[in-house]
Amino acid sequence: MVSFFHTADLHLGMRVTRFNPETCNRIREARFIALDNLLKKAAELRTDFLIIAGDLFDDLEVDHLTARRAYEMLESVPIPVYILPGNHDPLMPGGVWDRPPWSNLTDKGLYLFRERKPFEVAPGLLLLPCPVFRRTSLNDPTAWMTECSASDSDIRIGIAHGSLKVRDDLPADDHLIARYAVDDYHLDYLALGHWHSRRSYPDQEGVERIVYPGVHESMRFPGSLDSRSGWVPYGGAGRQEFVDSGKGEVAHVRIRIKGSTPEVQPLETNHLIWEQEEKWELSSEEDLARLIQQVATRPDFDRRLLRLQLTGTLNATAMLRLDALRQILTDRYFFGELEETNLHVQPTDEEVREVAAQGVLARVLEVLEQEVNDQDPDVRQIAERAILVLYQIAKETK
Amino acid sequence: MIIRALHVEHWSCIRQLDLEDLRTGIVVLRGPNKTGKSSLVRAIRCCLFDLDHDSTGSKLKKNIPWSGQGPPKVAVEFQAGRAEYRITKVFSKRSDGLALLEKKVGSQWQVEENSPKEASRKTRELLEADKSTEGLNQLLWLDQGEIGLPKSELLDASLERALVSVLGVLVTGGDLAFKEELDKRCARWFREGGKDRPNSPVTLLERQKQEFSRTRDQERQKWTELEKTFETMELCLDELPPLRRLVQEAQEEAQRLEDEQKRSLKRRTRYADAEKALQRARQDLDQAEQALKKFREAEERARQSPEEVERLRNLAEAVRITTDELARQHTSKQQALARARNEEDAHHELGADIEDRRTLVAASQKLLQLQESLTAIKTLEQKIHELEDTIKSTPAPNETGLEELRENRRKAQQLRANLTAEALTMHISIEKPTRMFLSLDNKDKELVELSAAEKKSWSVNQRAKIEICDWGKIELGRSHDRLDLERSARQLANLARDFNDAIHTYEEDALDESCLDRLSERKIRRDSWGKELSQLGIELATKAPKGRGILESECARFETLLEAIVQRRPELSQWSPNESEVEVLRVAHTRQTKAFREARLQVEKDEKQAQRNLEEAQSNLQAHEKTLIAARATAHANHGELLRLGDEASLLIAVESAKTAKTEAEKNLADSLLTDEEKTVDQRCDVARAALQQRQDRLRQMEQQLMDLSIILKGNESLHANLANAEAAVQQAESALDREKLEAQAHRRLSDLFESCRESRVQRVIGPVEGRVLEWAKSIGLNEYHEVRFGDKFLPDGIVRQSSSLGPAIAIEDEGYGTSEQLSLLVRLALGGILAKTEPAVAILDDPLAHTDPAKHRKILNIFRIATEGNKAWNPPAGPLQIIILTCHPDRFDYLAGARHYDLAQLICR
Repeated sequence: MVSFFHTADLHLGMRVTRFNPETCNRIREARFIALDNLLKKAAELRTDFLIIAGDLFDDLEVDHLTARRAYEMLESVPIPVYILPGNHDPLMPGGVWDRPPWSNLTDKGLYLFRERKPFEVAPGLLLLPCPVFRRTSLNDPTAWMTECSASDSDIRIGIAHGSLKVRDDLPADDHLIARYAVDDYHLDYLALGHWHSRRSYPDQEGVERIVYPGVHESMRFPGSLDSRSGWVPYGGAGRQEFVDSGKGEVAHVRIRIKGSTPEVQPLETNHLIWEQEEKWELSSEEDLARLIQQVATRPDFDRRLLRLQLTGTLNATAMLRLDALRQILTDRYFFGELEETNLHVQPTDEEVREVAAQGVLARVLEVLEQEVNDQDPDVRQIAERAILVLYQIAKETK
Repeated sequence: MIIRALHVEHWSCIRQLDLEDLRTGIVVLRGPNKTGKSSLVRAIRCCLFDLDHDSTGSKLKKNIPWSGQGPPKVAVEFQAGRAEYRITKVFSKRSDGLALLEKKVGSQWQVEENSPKEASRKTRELLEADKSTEGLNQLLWLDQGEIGLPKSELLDASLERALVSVLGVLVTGGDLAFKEELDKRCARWFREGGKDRPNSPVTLLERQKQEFSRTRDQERQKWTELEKTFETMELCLDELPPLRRLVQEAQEEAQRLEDEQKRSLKRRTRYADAEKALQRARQDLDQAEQALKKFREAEERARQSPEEVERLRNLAEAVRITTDELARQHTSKQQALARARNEEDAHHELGADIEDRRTLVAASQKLLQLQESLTAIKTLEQKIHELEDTIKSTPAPNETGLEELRENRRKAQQLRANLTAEALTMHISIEKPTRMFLSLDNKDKELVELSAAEKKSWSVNQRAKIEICDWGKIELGRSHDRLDLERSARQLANLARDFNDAIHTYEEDALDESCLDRLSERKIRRDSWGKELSQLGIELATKAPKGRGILESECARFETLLEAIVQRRPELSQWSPNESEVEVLRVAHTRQTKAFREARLQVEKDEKQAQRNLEEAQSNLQAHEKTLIAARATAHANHGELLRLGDEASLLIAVESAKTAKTEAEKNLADSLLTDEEKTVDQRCDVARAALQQRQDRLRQMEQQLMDLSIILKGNESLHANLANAEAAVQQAESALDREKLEAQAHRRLSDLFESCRESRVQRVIGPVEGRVLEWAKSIGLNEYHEVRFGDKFLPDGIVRQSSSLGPAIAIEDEGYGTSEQLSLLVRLALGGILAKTEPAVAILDDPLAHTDPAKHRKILNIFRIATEGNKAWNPPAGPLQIIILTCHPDRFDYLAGARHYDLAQLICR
């Protein structure tokens, strides 16, 4: 029996841009931590080897430190690691694979597939790698396997990076792989990479031998198609295939004998917790207090990324308390963000009496409250903020 | 409140005063200075507000009665609400001190409050103020010399409350504190006046964003370029395999042709050798035929050479003979030329002698002329000297001087006539001879002796003194000295002195009446001599324009010249200069000179011609000799060449042999002819090699390009991370900028809104008051104001003139003293009237409008009248006022219709 880890799309050195630079760095760092989790699990489970089915790096121009760190981590594990260049890090002259340390591999447990030819891991176990040489290609990367005759005894594991042609509307240049390549080339398992959520597909006999393992560390807020992290796949932005499940996983695969059904078990490896975007309807100070309480008591907030979308209307005092919520998100959470475009301020009569019962301020407040209902969103936004400032200063100077 | 009556005893300078039946409207309390008007005002203030009955301190001490009698006592009857009250205070800490509040019921006073403290407190409560300077009093009770309005910040709170209650809220304290804090916050982004601060956070963030964007754009540019590199690299990678295949094909083709080339090499070598042999045979035949031809030509030249040498030698000999003959001719011509030149030189000597004679003649004539001129000049000079001496010895004034003297005489005559006319005539006649001393007009006395019955007269200008010996003195004179006569006498004396001095200068007697006529004659004579003198001067200048010295030096020069000629040619010393003789000699000499010259020129010409002929012949001789030498050398060389070329027979044999060899080579070549493939194999092989070379070059270029591209990719390591960081930095800066902008805009909006709301509120609340003040101001003649700008405290910040309606307000106190007082008073009355809407109010004006001109003063009294009446129909309505005016200028208030006047001087017992 052969037991191995199948992962892909690690995207080390990922290009995240929609956060502040420090957070961006920490998100990139998290992918190394998740890789470390993965390698530890592989060692714990004593798997035979690790397959990385493409996109180890986010780009073939990643920086030297990222390239070296990945090399050192993978080289240090006690099992062989088989790496396939993907469409983000294709095998091109001058790219990351053409630079030290990756240009000087010495076959000591770390293997980079530079050619499309069979590789015998052990007697009776054959790897059929399909390295990617271009970012885009109209050719099926597995096509070369027709030249590779099959034997009745060898376990044949194909490794490829591309889109399995499960439907017709996939981009033609996205390294399309024949839907039944696994049957065509007599493969026991086709280890794929490219798509970011875990998926598996059956062969013509209904046995699930084709697997995308998903990403080892989530890359975005779950369920959100918009690229909130700023990362863009080279295979085409906005495609469902590149939306991960919000979890980081690796596929633990076991194949007993040639032709047997592969056993595939997903194992969690992620470090950061990307929370589903939460929508909160607030209408009173109590609602806000509940929200603050709820947010303040969540576990693992130092690994948590949270986006809160607030709607509704609050009085001025409550609006000023939003700073407390913002403070919690900023100070405690790995990353926290408040979307409050649709949260409006409406001072109560009591508040009005308290700070602006008469005099000029009363009139100012009256005008601002009219502007809050203006057609122009800019006017509305400025007016709402001005009301809060008015309320805040009036309270301070009272 | 309206004050109904005042009762004062022992207060300051007032021993007693009772003022009864004071009504609404205007009350004028008049009295000269020191009457006690200001003391009375203080009495009202202290009784109603400022002092309790047992108060001590400076305020009370100031009002201690001057008389020293009794404790001060003040009672004020006033109307508050609909009731009448009387507060009576006796200021004393002893038992006689009291404060009592009474209320009038019917015609009787009933005690309302007899507890002193409570009576005081209740009174203040009724009057709605704790001090006489608070509440409405701050506006309406003016001490002497109080001109302007109170400062806004000093506005009494109770007064402000009262105004708020009537007019509404203007700006609250909260508003002001809010604005102050808002301004502080706004200072983060804006300068005073609302302009953006150059280093506000928004600006800094914008700059930061621009900088980050620039960096990001640079990284993106690199990224775009890298994308192109990728594309190019992919193209290269695509093209590389087919190109390699083409190279392989070219290599195979080249190899095949090389094999073919090797196979046909033997046959092609044989053919090439045959070709070369034929070539050599042809060359050998050409050489043999050429040698034979040269031999025959050399033989012909050797035969002709001796004949030519002989011919040339004869020719050279004939030329040498001709040359010798020409040399002899040239020598004879040279000798003839030398002779002609000698003769010409001798003739020139004779010309010099004639020239000296000519000079001698001309110089003698010139010298004679000069000597005659010198004699005439000397005569003229002598005449001039004589004339100048005559003029010098006859002095005379010029025309001006003469005229001045005549004028002197005319003036003197006139003065004398005047003096004579004005002078007194003193007649003295004596009965017996008498001696007396007479002194006229302060002149030295002179002795006068009169005989009996002699009558004598004198003219006297001013006075005359007569001393008669042994008799006494008689003095007579004008009662007042005639100064004009004295002045005339002095002028006359001065004129006489001047005249005498001038006449003496010309050696004439001034007393002689005809002296002036003589001087005129002298002048005429002098003028005629002067003309003659100038005529002689002109004549002299004509004869010797440069002076006599020049003529004398000319004479000397000619004399020297004559001496020099005689010295050089002693034979001429005895010769009498004769011009005609010299001319004859000169003509003859000129003719001979021409003949000598022509002869010499002809000889010179012949000599030159002979020389040219000789040179030509010599040159010809040299050329013939050279030709002869060359002909001899050629003959020698031809002979040598013939010997070197050998003999004709052997040369003929060599030609025959070469022809045979050529025929043989042609036969061999025909035997080894090649096929077309064999002929072109080299060429085809070269083409294939070139094609291979080209393809290999292309392959190398592409591989090099790939290498270059890979180097570019390697050089862009980290670009991915750099771009990510740059984009994140821009993202971050944009978010921060948006937040900061929103904050700044919100603050600006708030600030702008606050200002506009404040402005509109002030305008709404205080607008009617402002309108009333402006209307009143216009009615008293202050037409130049467009706006009274009120601030946050119901008081004006300033006024705006018509001419600068959009400009800043001017502080009221910056206007003239009078205008400032008038405007302030109008504001006080307007606000006071508004506050008196429900309850009449009293205004106490101590010596008001002291700086107002009479015209305005009269008009402002009408405003007082209007203010006292109030008007419920106004917006806001105004209640009636009681205006109590204390003045020391009662006449200024005579025109106040309906006012009640009280003469404090009569009413106050001091």
